Amino acid sequence: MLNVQSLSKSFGDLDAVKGVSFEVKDGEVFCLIGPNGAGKTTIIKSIAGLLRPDGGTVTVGGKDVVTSPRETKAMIGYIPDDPSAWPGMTGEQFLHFVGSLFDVPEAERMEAVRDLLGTFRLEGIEKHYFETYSRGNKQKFSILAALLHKPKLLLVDEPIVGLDPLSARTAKGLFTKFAGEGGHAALIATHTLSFAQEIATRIGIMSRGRLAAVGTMDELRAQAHCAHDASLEDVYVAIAERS
Amino acid sequence: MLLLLFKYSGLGFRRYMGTRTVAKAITIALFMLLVVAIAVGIFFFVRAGFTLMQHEAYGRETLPLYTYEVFFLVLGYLMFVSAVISALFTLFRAGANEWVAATPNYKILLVGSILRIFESSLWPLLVIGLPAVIALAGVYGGGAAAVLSALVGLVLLAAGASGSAIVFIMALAALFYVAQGAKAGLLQMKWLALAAAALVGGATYFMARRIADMDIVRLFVSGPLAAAQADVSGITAAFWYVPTHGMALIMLALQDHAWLLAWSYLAALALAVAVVGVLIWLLSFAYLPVWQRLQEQDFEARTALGDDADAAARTAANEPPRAFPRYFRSPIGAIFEKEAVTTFRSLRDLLWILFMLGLWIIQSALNLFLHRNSAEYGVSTATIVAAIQSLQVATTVFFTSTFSLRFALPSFSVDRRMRWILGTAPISPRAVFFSKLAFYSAVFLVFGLGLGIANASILGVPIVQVGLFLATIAVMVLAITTFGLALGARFPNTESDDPEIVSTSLPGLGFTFLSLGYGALGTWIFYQALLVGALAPLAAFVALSALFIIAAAATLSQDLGTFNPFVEDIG
Repeated sequence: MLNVQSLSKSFGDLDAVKGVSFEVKDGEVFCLIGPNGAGKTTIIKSIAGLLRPDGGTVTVGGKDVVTSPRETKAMIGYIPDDPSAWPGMTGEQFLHFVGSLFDVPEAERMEAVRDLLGTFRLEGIEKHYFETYSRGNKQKFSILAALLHKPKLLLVDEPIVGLDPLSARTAKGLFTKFAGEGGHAALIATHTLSFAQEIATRIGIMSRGRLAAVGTMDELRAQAHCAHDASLEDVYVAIAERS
Repeated sequence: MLLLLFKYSGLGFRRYMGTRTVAKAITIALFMLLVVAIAVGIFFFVRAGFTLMQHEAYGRETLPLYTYEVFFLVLGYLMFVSAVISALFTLFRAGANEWVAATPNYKILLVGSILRIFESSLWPLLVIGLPAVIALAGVYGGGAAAVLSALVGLVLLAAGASGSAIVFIMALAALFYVAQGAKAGLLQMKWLALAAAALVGGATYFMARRIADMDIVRLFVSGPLAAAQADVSGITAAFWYVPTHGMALIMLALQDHAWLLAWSYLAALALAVAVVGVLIWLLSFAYLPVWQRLQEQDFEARTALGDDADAAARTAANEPPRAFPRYFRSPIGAIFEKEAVTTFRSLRDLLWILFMLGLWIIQSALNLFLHRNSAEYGVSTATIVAAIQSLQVATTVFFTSTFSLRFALPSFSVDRRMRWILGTAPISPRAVFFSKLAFYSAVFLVFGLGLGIANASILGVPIVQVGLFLATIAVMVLAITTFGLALGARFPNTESDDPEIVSTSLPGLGFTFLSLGYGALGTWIFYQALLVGALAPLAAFVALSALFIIAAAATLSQDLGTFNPFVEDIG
């Protein structure tokens, strides 16, 4: 589904991502973890088309994100870490607006919006303006907007920041269910290690713009020389200290 | 702490200059050039005008006094209304300094806001006022004493206008706070803005009626012709109730070197400003509770869980689902309608539009008022009609440029905060450009052509002339809008999404110079076409403008194939 080969990206003198390669297969939930400034968001934004890679290739469903942006964007659902939207739009208008941009027919949108609002129990507040929503509710609307056009790849940057525990559990279920449907996958960047350990089929640990380690929990434990029941936190600390 | 905040502002400027220093230095230099050009223009205009008036011995006092009255009335009104809008959105805003409200020195928020509003009223006044008073001192003498006294008067006028606006908004907010008692709901920014707009609109209407009913000719024939000078009592009687009357009297006294009289008027003006200061101080005791209430608004952290489930279900049942876009069902239509929704639902933008549109209507009405007066005294000719229609073209160009500078040019920069939506959707930047162009062109054409049709129908000009007039307006509005939007799309501001800051960037200044130059040229060509029937230059101008619109749109469209204003690292 997603193939990242030797991706690099610099901002002036700062090399944010240095030759990162990984792959996310159908059915996978791949979590990127790492300290602030490790390059997680830069990778996600480069795939989503918000940043132009300096080097390497990124393909989604076999299409290159640089040479075929419209095709790849149509396959991606993106959930940002800062879910800002136009303050004068209602939540309902926002969902329809995003759906329209992805050419989802109106009848289909009406049905999808109704169903999706129920996911986070947002019925009744969808006609309120975006500026009146709390951080958590904005996040929920951005998650729903990303799912509206039935994407094949979900890119999620800090998925549960601002969500209450029940909503975080709902989001977790959504992402797992999404990846479990045939031909779908999710790439999630997060600092919440317990969330990553619970949801990920594979995990990539970023450090200073490089992928320090990649694998399933068991593979990472082995790479970090940790016990078979070590938590992701233990594994992360061991790998971070080593790199 | 106040000094510390100012120090942070100073550091902010240094940080601003730290990147793209050359471009920013050019922007500042261009801005200064614009200020100096305006100041020099005002100096020569005032000097020439008042030199002429000085030679008119009989009207040596009446003509200047009338000029002072009208000038300070218009200026005072503009300063007051813009300060009201600033006060609405500055006094109670929880911006980056919100944390100050949690300290014992919370009133610093108020002091900082007052200083910002005063400063934004003062500097335009000084750009216009300083060269004017130097020119007046050159015409009437009086040296440094006259210049300094007039400057003190101008500073007091700015303080009075901005202070009155602050008192007005603070008193209104305090009144709403008291009226709502313990229940929230009444004290909301939208109601506050609505009440302020209604009161200012009512006062404007009252003043406009008084001015429209004024008979200019009678003002100047009120005194005995045998006297050495015309009596000013007719003018003072007509303007005595206007808050800026005192400033006009100060200028007249300085012109006559009646120093004691001038300084006594200055003292009275200072006293009035001091009273405004005391009122602000009294109202400051209600500042914190009002500020706190205004932060609440309609905050929606709940979901349809638990106790809210019934309420949510009721709301959902009462308001059926509604699709968006409602009229233009396509991705391009969605962006068009998004522009409409976000522009007209923003209180700040809406007030700004109403204010500028109000000025546009007033100026258009004054153009017709000039025609009515000239017709009343039998001096209406085809020349005057040509001049009035040309004035309307110039008015349309000026306001379209102002609207484009405030809305069309910053549009892509404002949307950069939401680039995660537009930048990740499978829609090309050129489609976004054409949607925005369609929206802004439609709105500005409605404004420009609407007032143009009103002008033409009241003047009663022949149908061919109406066609020429409206075609000129339409093509100029489209050219200016396309230029502003294209410039903003190609050079989006990567450091700010505040339209007022984006407007003063290098593209904004370039747009101001070029669009006003283009407008002046178009107005002159149109005037010549009506005056001497020179239709060929007008036809060429309209054709070239149309060509420019097509070329600019096509070039940018091609450019946006490779350049994406929503990609983050374009800087």
